Amino acid sequence: MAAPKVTPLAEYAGKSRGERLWKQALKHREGAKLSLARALLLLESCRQTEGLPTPIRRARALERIAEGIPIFIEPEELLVGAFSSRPMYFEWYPEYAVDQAILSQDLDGMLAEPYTQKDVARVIDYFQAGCLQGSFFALMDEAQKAHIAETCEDGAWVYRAKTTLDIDRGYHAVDHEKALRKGFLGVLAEVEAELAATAVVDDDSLRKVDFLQALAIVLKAGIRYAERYADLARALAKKATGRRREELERIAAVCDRVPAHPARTFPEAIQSSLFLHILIHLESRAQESPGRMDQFLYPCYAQDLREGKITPEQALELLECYRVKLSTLRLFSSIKYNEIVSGEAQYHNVTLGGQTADGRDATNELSYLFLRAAERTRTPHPTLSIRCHDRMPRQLALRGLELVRAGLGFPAFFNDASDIPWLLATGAPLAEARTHCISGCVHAIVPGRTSPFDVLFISIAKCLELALHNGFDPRTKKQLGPRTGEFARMKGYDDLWAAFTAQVEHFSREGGVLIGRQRVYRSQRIPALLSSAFTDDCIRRGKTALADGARYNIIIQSAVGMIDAVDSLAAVRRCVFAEGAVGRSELLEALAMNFDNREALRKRLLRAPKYGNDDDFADGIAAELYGWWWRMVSAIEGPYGTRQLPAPYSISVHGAAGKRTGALPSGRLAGHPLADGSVSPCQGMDVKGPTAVINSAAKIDQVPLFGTLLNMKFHPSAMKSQEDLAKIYTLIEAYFAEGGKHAQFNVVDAKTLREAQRHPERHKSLMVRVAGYSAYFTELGTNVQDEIIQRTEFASA
Amino acid sequence: MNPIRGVVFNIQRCSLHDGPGIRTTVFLKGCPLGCFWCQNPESQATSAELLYDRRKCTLCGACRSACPHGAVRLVQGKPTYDRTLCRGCGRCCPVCPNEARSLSGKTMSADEVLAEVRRDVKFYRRSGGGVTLSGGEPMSQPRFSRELLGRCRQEGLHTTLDTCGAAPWARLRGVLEQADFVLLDIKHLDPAKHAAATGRDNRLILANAKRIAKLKPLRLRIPLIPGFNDDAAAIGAIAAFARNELGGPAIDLLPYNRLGEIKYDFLDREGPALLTQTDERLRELEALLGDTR
Ligand code: SF4
Ligand code: SF4
Repeated sequence: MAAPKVTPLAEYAGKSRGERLWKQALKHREGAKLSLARALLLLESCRQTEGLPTPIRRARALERIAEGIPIFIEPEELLVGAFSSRPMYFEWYPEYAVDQAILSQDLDGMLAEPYTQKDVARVIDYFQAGCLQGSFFALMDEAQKAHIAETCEDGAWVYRAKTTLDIDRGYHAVDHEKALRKGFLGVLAEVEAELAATAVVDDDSLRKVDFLQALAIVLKAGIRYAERYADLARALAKKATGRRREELERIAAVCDRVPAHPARTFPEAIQSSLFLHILIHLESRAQESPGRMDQFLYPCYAQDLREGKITPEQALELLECYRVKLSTLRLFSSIKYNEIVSGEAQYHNVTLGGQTADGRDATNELSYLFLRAAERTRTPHPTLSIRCHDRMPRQLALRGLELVRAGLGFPAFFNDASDIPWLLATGAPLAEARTHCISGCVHAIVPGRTSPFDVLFISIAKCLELALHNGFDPRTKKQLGPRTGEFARMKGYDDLWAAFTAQVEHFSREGGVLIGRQRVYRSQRIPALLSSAFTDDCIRRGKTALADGARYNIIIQSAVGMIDAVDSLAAVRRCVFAEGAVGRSELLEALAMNFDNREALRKRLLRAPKYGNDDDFADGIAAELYGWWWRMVSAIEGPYGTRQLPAPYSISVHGAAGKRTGALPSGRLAGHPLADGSVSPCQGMDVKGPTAVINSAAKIDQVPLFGTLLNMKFHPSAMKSQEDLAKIYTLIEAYFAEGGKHAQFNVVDAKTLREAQRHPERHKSLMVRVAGYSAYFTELGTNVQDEIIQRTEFASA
Repeated sequence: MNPIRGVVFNIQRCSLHDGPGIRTTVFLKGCPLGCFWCQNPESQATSAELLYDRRKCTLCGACRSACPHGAVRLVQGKPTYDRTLCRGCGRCCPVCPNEARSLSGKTMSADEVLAEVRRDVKFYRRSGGGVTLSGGEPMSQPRFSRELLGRCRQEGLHTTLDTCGAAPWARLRGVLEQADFVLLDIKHLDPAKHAAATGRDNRLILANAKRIAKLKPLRLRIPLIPGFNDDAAAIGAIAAFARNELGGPAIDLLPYNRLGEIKYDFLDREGPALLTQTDERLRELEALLGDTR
């Protein structure tokens, strides 16, 4: 299907409504403060509901928030609802974590009017002991706590302990299609029918009834929230004139209708979906992936178009408003959390294209309009993912690459041919596998049927460091892992491999137990209700999506620094065991000194084969390690009968973990970030260009992995013409033909080039291409580098 | 029979701008011209040459012990490289801990080159790409060029010859037979100016251009050299020649870039001091090409 022609609305020639709204939002952002509206409503409700069953208490809390949180409609807004009581403000979710970092922060300048430090103290007082994170760790004995402190992010950083307690990361996508088709009232009827059919005869049935009653409360609360907006819009309309008055009246009419009832028009559909998204966040702070919006909004769009109720321009305007809305979500949380999340990363992920349940190409006009809206507003969220397959129009991918070229950093490209077999292998029927969406960053799931998942981040690079030291961590000077043998006495590579894999397995199991426990704890203490109402088969089973209400119940392990381990193993295998050029003790000594005065040795290690250069020696180790790892992880049992899924990706954990990892045999220095992504080469180590990187990554069997991540950087000079974009798309196609799962491109900006000038070693692979000529940036003379930086700056201005 | 071997100074994978599709460009050493602006000065001589990056050198002296020809001597206690004694054997390169020394020019068989080329076949197939032979000037190694392109073709790969056209027709024709596509550099139509800037006049080049145009699909590339040919008269003349004599092939203007500048330092040679054309200037010149693009 072709992209619809979009000409700007005459009255908005120049800037679109979305652009103006976003500009406005950015202005609000500057003075944004911490609102206590949600926290105080929560506190009030919790005090009143003491003694009631937990699901009911949570439901009453959302009800109180939905009815009481101050609401507003910004000038020009067409879509309503907000993540906070004032535009771009932060709301606090103290029931998850009252972190020490918050306690010690000077909140004075940060607090919104009329809140005071006294209010903060009241909230802390009530939630500090009982909050999820605090109470979870309070359950542990001192020895356990000490072990975690030594091993996890506050110590050696072998794995991350506080993964899922401070925030609901929302690797989840609810059934928006159902919300639009049935409305909240339709789902309420479903809940009530299930209630009527459930006799209380034992503990389980009692729990089920509590849960279902809680669902009924939150569904009604959601409807009430929309009614407040209808009233507000009507009140504002009375004061408004002309065009804005009509707009406000239309908003009121839409809010009268949805989310209570089925959506009949495109504006109703997108508003209903937005309400659901926001309400889930207000309840549990989740950052859901909206999923396949071009699919579930399409029936209403097509019908409106047929009936002449909407033009593509008007739909585009709504999509722009939607983008601005999702970009107003701010996260206030502990310093600890911020350390690991890239900027304000939020996992709202909208999936475009892909296939229909019966295997046809699903691309439609909305797929293109979503891209256009992102290009126009340039908001960071929601991120876009394009599902690629053989029968898709190339035009969609090329349009996507135009956005990449514009510097948006998305869309990312995903491969149906690798994700669908994966989903089939996990038990999904074909029709469901074909309608998957991307959730979180890179994970293909069946929306509305899959549980949210907790993640164990484990540093494979750290495990290698431990293996080289017989389980001892040289940085913290603690024996953390099992004693897997002195490196100095190892006879060959196989010994090191055995020691290393034993370390990885030890911590994968240990960490697996910990996140399993967190999962159960979280689903019992803070049951997520509204998202469960829109996840099959929670209603029928009477359980939350996080317990075993969801049809596909998953929990994941994520490997960080896998490629650092690969490059290190390759260097040891080549330099120590094959060539005998480096002694075992000599290597350990050099690592201990962070290669100080051992530059020659480090250079030698750096010259050893590195993953990402289409070198079979290094790539073979990557393929073997991944193959071993996914089998090992998949055999570990999780809570509620789940299996741990192997999901290698790093968000920005590679930075935090890297800080606590010593020098590695790959030649990486102590404290440097680990490799980014899961199948991307270590920074600056790929010097043979993108085709070599792709060949390396394609040697890893990716189908059995729950999402992989390949980042590639291009200087804008490689993306100038449409022809260039077509060639770059060819790279993706070739990668996907061999089972690659994901590819994402970044255009190098002037800032990165300056970084490369300062640290040439980390950016060796950066290539500048001009017609008929290409060169590695770091090899150029400083004056020429400066000229390129200037030009790059100019081009993006 | 000994396989024919060639001197290669670079194999560039994932070339996006050297012919159709995604390509691997094989750069051969040696060039019959001596353009003063050459962006690959390390390609001009046919034999291997040492590139020495003084910025990276820490004067550790490791190369001195490795050199069998005494080309690195101690001068006032510092290891000092003397190019006149250097034979380009490359022994000093792997011992340098700072990657300050590298050799431009590696003797390779067609098989060895093909092994590298084959690694990206899937990308050529999907993008309509293939292999480009460039340089230097591939025609300075005609037997190897013919062999290499022929072997690529046997494997079903699309072949492109990137040439300056300054070679005897009989030899050029032999290589052209194995090429599916030609990128031809034309620098100037004025024989005297051409001779002054490149060391040879352009009569052979222009005559060959006409012959090539009859045999093969062709694309002209004009390197825009400040003060030499980046003016309306010079470009207009080439465009007219292309239209009238070559059947109007596509023409690319390649704005001057300074990416190769540093390599003059690596070779202890004086480089040109030229500046890149502005985008505006480029657009003006492009307008002269009319619909040949
Ligand atoms: S290339 Fe050979 S001759 Fe020249 S400096 Fe190095 S070792 Fe000596
Ligand atoms: S070996 Fe390298 S760093 Fe040492 S003196 Fe020679 S060029 Fe300089």
